[in-house]
Amino acid sequence: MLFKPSTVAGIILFASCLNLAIAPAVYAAGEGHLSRSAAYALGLLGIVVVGLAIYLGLVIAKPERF
Amino acid sequence: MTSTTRQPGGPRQQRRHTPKANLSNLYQRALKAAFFKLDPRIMIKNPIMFMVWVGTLITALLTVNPHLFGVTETSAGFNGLVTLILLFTVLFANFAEAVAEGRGKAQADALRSTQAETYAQRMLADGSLEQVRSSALHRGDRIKVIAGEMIPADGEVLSGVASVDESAITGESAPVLKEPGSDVASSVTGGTRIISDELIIRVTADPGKGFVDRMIALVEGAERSKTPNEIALTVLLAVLTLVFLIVVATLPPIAAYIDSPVGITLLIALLVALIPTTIGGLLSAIGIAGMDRVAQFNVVATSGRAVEACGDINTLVLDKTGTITLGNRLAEEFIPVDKHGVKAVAAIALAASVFDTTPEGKSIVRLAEKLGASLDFDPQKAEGVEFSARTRMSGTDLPNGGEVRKGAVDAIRGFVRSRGGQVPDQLEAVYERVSRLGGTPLAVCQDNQIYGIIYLKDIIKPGIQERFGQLRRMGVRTIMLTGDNRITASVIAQEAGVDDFIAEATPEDKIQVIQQEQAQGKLVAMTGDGTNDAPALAQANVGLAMNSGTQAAKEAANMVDLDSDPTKLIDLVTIGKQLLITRGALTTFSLANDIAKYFAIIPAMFATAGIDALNIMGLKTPQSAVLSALIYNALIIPALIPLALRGVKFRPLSANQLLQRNILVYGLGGIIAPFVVIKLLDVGLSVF
Repeated sequence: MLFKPSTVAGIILFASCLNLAIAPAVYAAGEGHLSRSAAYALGLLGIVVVGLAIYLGLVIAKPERF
Repeated sequence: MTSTTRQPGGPRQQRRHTPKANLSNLYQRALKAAFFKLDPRIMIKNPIMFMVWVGTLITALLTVNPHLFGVTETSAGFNGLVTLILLFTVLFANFAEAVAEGRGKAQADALRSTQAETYAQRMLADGSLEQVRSSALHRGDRIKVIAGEMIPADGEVLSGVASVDESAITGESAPVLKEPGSDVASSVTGGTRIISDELIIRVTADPGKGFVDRMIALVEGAERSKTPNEIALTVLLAVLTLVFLIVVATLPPIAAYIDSPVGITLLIALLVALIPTTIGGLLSAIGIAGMDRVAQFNVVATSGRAVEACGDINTLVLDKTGTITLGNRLAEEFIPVDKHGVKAVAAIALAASVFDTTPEGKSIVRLAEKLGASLDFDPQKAEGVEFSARTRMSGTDLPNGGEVRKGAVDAIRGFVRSRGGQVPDQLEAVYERVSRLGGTPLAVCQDNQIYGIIYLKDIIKPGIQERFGQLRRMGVRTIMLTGDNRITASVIAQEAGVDDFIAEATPEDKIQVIQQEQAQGKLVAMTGDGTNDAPALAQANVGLAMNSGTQAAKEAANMVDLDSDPTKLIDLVTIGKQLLITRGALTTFSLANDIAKYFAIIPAMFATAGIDALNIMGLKTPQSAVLSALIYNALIIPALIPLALRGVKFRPLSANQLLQRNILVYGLGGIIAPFVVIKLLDVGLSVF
């Protein structure tokens, strides 16, 4: 298995905690056009995108694992 | 030996053995497997499809709550359609892989059915026999197998001579003679059956590690690891995907700046349209299908890497006898020299061949007896002298102390001179005459007198010139190695159409040729079956051992041909190249598709930014444009499954010609096809 269940839970926890820092910044950048929930959702989406970029970087660096 | 018994490595029909795989319900099973493969732990192994899978999840969330990421113009219905299309894209890719794996598993099951558990008679240290299950046999065990019984495991014949039916493995109905000690007939494969007599066999593979087991593992794909070419392609696709991800992720601020905000759904649609989903979805199916094709040719490869290496081969090193020629050289004529007559030559030839069990030796005995020759000594009191690559002659030490020999002309010359004899003047002329006919001249002598020359006729395999021509067009150079003299080798080489030849070659010459080619940066393939071929097989980039060969040769090689047909190497080069060409063609097509999808989605995304001029297909609405592009993206995967599994049709062209053809057909086709199809889809969607 590529990731153990405890690792997945850890990643989710880390992402959620990170979002607590990112979401307010997204909200502030939205200049009032975004609701709080949308800001949190966008923050999470940003983390997912960064996560995907890291995943692709891992594929490029260690392709034999995939 | 019956008249239908063939010698290993002899002529074979031009058909390959395809085990009767049960392909019923293949597609239903593949469909079910496609859903099971949606598991993220499986999806994460395919970077491209994993991106689409994540996109599907996000659009699914947007279907439930379209304003999840802020107010947007895309409706829940539109988001739902996009989600459905992306889901089908992932499912189609999984389906392609599942079909390829399903075919492999069916083939593996058919092969497994030839490996029925059976009982074996294991010989104990004291010589007694104990009955054990075949799965209890281990490497090193000695077993006795009699007529009618199945050989329970791969092994090497220690004693006995028997006819073996190998049709379960090779499809060839004519039985094969197996005997110990010979380089070409001492190996047996588990699952084959003894027709007559009996054999004492030393087991050479532990349970589950035999050649057919390895073939099953390769065909099933369960433990398949990515080949170097696949890894390189995965890296390329990942780099492209990362670039597109960065481009798409940085579009929103630019879009906001030009007052043309873009919704998340459209961004995901653009990303999925741009990343190479076609080749990403079909890559593993192409690889699995390639391994299946190798197995259908009855070749056991140790890994996909070996098969791919076949496609990159620059030089092919081939033996003459049995590979380029039919191999069963027959004595055609006895040609006397000096004052000797034909009968005298026949008598000496017979005496020198009485201990010779090779087909050539037996044909000399037959011809001599036909001419009325007979032995004037008791063979039981005489001693045979075996052929060796060093002495290049064989013969008999007579009871009265005399020595009769037959062998290469210069070797016999040296033998006679060393015993104080003279070489007849005519010898050279006769030798040249036989050589110019493409035959192999063997001189015969007794003590210090040369009696004459045996003309061994060798026939070039039909169709071999065309195959070498094909290889030449593909850029593969052929080198023929033979122990024959230069004139014979030159005649055969010219007739067969090989690019180069090495005459009077020793086993060391084989390794030297391979090393010389490799030193020039070339990849070399060779075939072999004897123990003396093992070092060269190990040195070559692709070593193909004959199944009828020795265990040492099979262990040294990275591929084993169960049909023991040396010309199979040519087929393997074709399969390897076809595998690489198929990947290249579909990658070109996949990337070329992006152009049309770009022209479909970008104008739709920035409809309010005044870039209508980019809508060159005249797509009706932004929504229909996006849906059309995504539907095309999804449908092209199942449309190309047959091509991925079958492989692009192989054409023996040079690298430049292949590239031109690839760019024309798959590059240009990849640009034009989506324009046409997306427009048709858009028209269809507009109707609804």
